[in-house]
Amino acid sequence: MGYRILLGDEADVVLIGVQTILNGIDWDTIYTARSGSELIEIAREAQPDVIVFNERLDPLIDVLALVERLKHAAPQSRMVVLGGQVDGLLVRDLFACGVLGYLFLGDDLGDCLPPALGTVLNNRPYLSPTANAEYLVAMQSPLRNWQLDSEARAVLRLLARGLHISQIAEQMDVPLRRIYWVRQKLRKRFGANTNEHLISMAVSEGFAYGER
Amino acid sequence: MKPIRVVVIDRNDITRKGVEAIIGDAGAPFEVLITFARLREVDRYFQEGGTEVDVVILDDYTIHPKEVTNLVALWYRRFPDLGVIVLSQRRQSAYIQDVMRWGNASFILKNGDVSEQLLKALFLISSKYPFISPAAFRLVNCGVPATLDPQEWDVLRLTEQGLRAGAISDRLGISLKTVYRVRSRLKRRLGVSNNESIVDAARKQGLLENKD
Repeated sequence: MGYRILLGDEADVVLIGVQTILNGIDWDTIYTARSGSELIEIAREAQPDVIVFNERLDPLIDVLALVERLKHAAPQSRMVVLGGQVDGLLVRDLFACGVLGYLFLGDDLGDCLPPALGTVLNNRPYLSPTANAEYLVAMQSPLRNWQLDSEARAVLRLLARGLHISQIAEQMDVPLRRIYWVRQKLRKRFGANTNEHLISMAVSEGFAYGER
Repeated sequence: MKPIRVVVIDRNDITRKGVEAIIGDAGAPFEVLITFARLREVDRYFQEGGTEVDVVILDDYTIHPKEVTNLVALWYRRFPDLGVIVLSQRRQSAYIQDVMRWGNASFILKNGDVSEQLLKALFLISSKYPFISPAAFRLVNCGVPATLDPQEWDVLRLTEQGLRAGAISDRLGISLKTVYRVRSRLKRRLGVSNNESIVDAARKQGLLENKD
């Protein structure tokens, strides 16, 4: 029996490349999307078996938020993320959000993609070699149990807008010391010493929190 | 019609296969002679007499910008008739201009409809006309990035490294007040309203390199 797969990338050359790699594999239908909103829309309508998409698909939504929306739109679909800048902690966060596969674009994906799809279709996780190595390193990190959850991402977003800690606490309606604690965790998570450094590191990992 | 013989160099399996498929589907006069994942393999190919090449398509993913511009310059000197098309996700106007400086080079931003632009670039470059994709053209022409004085450069670079204002003042031997004043100037020049966005804005304007 064939499966239905949804591919998401801004560039047609990537969509064509993935389809070329998947030639000869038993797929019923391949849907394609060129933006985050299109991906969510097609996922909701088609309920594909697997969704493969680029972590930088939508500059206005960070990858974790996109995963959460996809999970809501197509709860049964398995998700595989293609990423250009592998970070073991991000991989861990993605898996915690329900992603089943992470493929680093610098790995030999011609060889990795077919087994990755076969593995996630059996509801088992798959990591490409570099992603796997980074994930193992991250699991040795003292921050391995702290996730970049929606609260942390909200603090990050408000910091990037230039709000002070007290304003963030007021806006989020949480104690001031909680925001200090989250900011400290964020700085450790991104290896940053200052707020400026934190925002620049977060933006470089695809968390689109810069001024727009 | 004389065939246009193409060599594709791309570390990313997916885009490499995508480019190959686009050119293969277009058919004559284009012909992909060979594809490479690594630069050193290309060196060997040229050293062993691979001179019947008309165009090289180089995806600069994982290659340092300096290395790309050096390579384009080197090829231009060694093979004046060789056309080079750089596929990139880098958005710094200075980098795009550096690549395009070498007579027979073209530049395509790897987003949107790459296939159409790639075929257009192949036709043009094989007739010695350079091509720049519309998105890259907009980046080059969207206005000259802010020009900074040496002190502003120093503060910007140290801010990027995550140094606090106090540490910057120590490192540069200037007063804390001066650091604050320079940062205010940086914000004005870069068009942002908070310190957190300085580094991100400088990257977007091509003053600092993206972390990729």
